[in-house]
Amino acid sequence: MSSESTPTKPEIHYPSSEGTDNGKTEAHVRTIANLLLTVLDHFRERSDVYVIGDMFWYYEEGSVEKRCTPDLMVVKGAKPGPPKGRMCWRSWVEEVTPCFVLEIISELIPAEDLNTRLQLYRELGVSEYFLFDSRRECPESRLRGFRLLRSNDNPSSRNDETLPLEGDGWIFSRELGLRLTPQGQVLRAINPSDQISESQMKDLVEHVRTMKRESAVLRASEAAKLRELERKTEFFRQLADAEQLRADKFLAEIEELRRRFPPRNN
Amino acid sequence: MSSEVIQPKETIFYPSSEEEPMAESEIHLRTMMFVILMLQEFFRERPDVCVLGNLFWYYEEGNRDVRRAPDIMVVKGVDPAPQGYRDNFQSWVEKETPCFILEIASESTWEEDQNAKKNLYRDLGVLEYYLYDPKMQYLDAPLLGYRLLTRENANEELESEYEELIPHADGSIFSRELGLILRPEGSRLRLVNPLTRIPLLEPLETSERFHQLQDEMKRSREASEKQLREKDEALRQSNLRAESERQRATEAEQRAETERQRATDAEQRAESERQRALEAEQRAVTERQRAESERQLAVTERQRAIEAENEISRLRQELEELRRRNPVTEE
Repeated sequence: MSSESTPTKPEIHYPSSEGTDNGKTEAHVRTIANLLLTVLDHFRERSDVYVIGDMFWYYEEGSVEKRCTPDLMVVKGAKPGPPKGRMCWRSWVEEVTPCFVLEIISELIPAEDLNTRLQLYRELGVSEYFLFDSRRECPESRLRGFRLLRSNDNPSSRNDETLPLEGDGWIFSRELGLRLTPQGQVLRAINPSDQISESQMKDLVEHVRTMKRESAVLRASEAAKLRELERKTEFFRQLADAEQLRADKFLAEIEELRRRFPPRNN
Repeated sequence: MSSEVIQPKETIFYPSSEEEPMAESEIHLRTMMFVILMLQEFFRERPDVCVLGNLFWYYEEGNRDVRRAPDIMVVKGVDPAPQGYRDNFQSWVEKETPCFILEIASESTWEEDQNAKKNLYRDLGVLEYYLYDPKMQYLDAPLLGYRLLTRENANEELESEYEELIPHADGSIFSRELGLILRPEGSRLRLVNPLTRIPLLEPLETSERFHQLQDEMKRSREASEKQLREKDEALRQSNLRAESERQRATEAEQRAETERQRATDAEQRAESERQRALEAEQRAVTERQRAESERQLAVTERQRAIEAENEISRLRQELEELRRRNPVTEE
């Protein structure tokens, strides 16, 4: 217990996170866990796609201060990392810039900090960056997405376009090919062409179970269909055999008759 | 650019984390996130078990400066999501203490993990405390485990100590609090079901299994569609054959009928020819008989004629004779 005089309960605010990377809210961790999994899974056949969260990105060689820590970033065309994984991302070593960045807004990030970060990502040439604020109810402030306009090549005066909010509040990320969709307090990535709506663990497990059941049912009904076809085929085969026998009998009779009564003209 | 003097490249150290980061590196983050996902899935049917990652744990009411954000903590006897997800965990509100804490060793925290944090968690009554070193570069073993042991000391006071859990030969330790074996396997921490000895599927394994299953189902669907098509074709062929055999039989039957007709006709014709021949023969016999009788008649006639001629000759000779003997005066 605190040795100081305890202030009255209602006045105490317990921050969930500091300005520096530190403790995170449950919604934050769940969002990162799910996005990490979904995006890794989505790009499972691309060894050059690197997905990482909460890693220091140093963008100027020689300066330890010139760094940022996106909550999630995705790099395409990444070199294979060291066997035990990367410890940090150094632009001059990697020679490629992340194409996607997500920041999860927490209570202690001032608006100007946010603008500074956005400006930084623009200057660094990040193609798409998204801001997610799980505490906001209003869709417009809950999820925001920006895409860099490449027309201006001067990094400090680059512009971006705001990506449109669609449907019930999702934004399509062209870089990921996934829909970023807020669900409850968590942001998920959904593959629009996939049958499953998300790669969340329990859903996947449930989905696998359902698929197993369905495939068993399918197999059973197909087996029945096959047996029915086989039965019909067999029936017609026997019918054909009988008809063949009948035809052969008549042909033999014809043969016999022709032998006995050779036709005059032939 | 830094305004400070730029140090030569080789000597610059780029820290991977600040003092208390959520994750320090790629492996740290993945391990943490995937273990959280696995444990959440494992405790899905247990609504009173809460798996939390990197959440601030405030353990002293009124003091917002004493807190910890363990990489993974498991709390039992609480609502996993009372009003949405938690922003932090306050012991005095929740009235529970985490029973399980796992820290993933990192460059900046591993020493603290083994000393200050361990003592703190002991004092707070965390029943099990684990340290995992995915890179095997900070700790003596890839996995260290401790279980709280409370006993009376000489002064009859309750005293809690962490007792080190002895790992099995493969480095694994059974966690009574989780009901799972924690098994370090290189840079990943396996969670193993102690009864089946089967590790829980990792999230990417699950999704891989899912894709495999999807592929398998697609393949088996294609195969069974192919089989269906083949069987369908076999049925069609068999049906066609039955139909063509039936046609052949019908044609043969008709032809046989024709042939039978022809045979009957031929027989009838033969019969009538024979009849005709028979009649002709009889007629011939009759004719022959008639001719014979005519011939005999002719023979008879001729004999009669001969006889008559002979008679005539005789009579003429007689007449001659008579004339010679009795000459008649010529008038």
